[in-house]
Amino acid sequence: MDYRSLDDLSRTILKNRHRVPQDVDLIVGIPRSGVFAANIMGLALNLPVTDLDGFVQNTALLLPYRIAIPSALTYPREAKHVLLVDDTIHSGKSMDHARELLKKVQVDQKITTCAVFANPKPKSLTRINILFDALPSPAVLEWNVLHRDKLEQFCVDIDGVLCRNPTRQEDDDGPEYRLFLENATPLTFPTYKVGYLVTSRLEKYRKDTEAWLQRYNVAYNELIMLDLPDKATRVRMNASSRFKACVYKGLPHSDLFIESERKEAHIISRLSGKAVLCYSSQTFFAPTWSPALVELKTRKMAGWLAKRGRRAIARFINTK
Amino acid sequence: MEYRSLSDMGKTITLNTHKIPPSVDLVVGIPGSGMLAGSLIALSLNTLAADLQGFIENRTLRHGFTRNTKTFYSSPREARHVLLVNDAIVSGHTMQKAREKISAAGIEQIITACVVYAGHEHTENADLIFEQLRPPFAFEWSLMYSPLLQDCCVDIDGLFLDIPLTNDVEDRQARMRSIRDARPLTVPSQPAGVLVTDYPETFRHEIETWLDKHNIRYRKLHMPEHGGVNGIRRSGHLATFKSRVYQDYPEAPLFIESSSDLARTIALQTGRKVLSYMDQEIFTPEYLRAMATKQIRSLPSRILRKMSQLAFRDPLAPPHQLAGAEQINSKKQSHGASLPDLKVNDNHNK
Repeated sequence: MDYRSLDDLSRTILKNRHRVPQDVDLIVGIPRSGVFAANIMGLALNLPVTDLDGFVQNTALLLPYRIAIPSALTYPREAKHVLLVDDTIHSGKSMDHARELLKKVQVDQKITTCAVFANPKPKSLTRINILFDALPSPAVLEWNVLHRDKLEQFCVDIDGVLCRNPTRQEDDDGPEYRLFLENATPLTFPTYKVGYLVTSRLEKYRKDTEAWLQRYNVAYNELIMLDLPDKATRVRMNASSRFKACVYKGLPHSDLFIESERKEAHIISRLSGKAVLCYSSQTFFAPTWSPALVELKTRKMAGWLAKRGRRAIARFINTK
Repeated sequence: MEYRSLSDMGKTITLNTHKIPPSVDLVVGIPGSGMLAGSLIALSLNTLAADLQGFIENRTLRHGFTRNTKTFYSSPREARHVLLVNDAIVSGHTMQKAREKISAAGIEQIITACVVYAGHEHTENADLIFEQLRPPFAFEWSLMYSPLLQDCCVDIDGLFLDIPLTNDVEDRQARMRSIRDARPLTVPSQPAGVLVTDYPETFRHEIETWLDKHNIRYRKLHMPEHGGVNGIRRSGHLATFKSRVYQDYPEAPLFIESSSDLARTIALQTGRKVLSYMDQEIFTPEYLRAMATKQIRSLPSRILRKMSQLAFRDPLAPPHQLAGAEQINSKKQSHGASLPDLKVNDNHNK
């Protein structure tokens, strides 16, 4: 699992802007997130930007006041060399679609295709002329981590990701806390079903939490809560991150945990040996060397060896 | 001067998405940087986005394949509640004009105007403001086009000119030719205040012609007397040179430097704000002081943790964080070592 944030996107564009051919005079973004990358690129290179539809329908370019180059373009089709931009390429489907669309309307401009991040496999590499940075699959991006179908495999924390954190006064494990649970302001609305909501809220608040989730239409497969009598016990046992790591480790298909606190994210990543994303600071913790990772790898290796061994034995018996 | 980078804007938007009315089903960006903010908000809300012109002309909306959007409709006029987005309010003209355009086109949808950043003035033009800043402010996406650039000190290499000056002794003629044919990376639309470069005085003619050719205007160009090709070039020497130029302009609000290490050194030497452009990191004197204090304060606990780790007692202590802290420490030491060295160099030049 790999991760790229908005910061990575803009830095990659800044560092690679010299690789864009010099005679490019228009940047065309592929909707939706490609338009965003195209906008950053246009600002970095000081070139006019339009989206695919604007280019196909040849709608007048609205040049922002700041463009300094006396660019003579008023319509996108007047451009001679067009840079077709998408942010990521995994299967190459959207790039193919864009190219087909351009072929259909018979565009006679020279077209260079460019991707900021792409899977370094021949399948996707053959579809683009310029690649800024390789991003091996599986990967998630800041701007769509909560809006992909993969979300059904992820673990997501509630406080700090879906809703805001309780203040110190609200976190009294009593009536104030119940009031907070009822009226917490939502932060993000995931579009797909969330796989596992893993929270260190206590089991006794399950009803309130479920009611809140239903109120804001958050779909999920499982809600896993900490089963301890009260908050004091949780603090004393320092259970929050250990509990989350324990749950995460026990879910073999889950390969990303979205956590709100940076420190906790780091600990979860270490204890579980799997990737954790800190949502508030957009830091990604890939598993570094840790006992948990070694355990995970050993188990995988053992499983693989057992499989190979079983096959070899079966083959041996068959040949006899 | 307050500075916000693109990732700052992303964070501000994620933290403030809940302020947007839930009935919003289309985001319309004002051309230019409003499109940038608009597409970010649309991605975070997971609705469709259009630009102002497309919305007025009712152009079909398209979206990618990888994501499932909340609403599916093909023309923007089907939306019921529209969020009109711009990145910042400076004079309020852009927002007013956009509203006038929409009302002139006879559009009856509910329109909420939203800006990510605003100063204290002209706030009545927006219904929603995500963050208030104290003016003057600059943004990563418009820094090269804002009138503030007229006062700043700007480094040429890595920002406009993409041929870095390397240390190897090279053919002077070839070097001059490569400058002549170099492409500009960014062309600012405002005249820059003071330009600073790594190339020595001997290249003044080439650099000036190149700047003229690409229409980069400036008030003054500073070049080091020694160093560069066929000379001694050391990053320490360069940092002192740049700091001295920056000190000569006390009214300059910002020094824009491409490399992060040099930016940090300049900030340390001058005690003023330096922006490292490639990493979009701003070094303020307060920040550097805070970093140093943090390092010193955490020293005992770091030593303790390291020792306990050596004894394999604490499985929770993250080892690579420690390694990172050590790196910062060693960097600091190297800075400390380079500073007195620089002074010697300085005297020698005089």
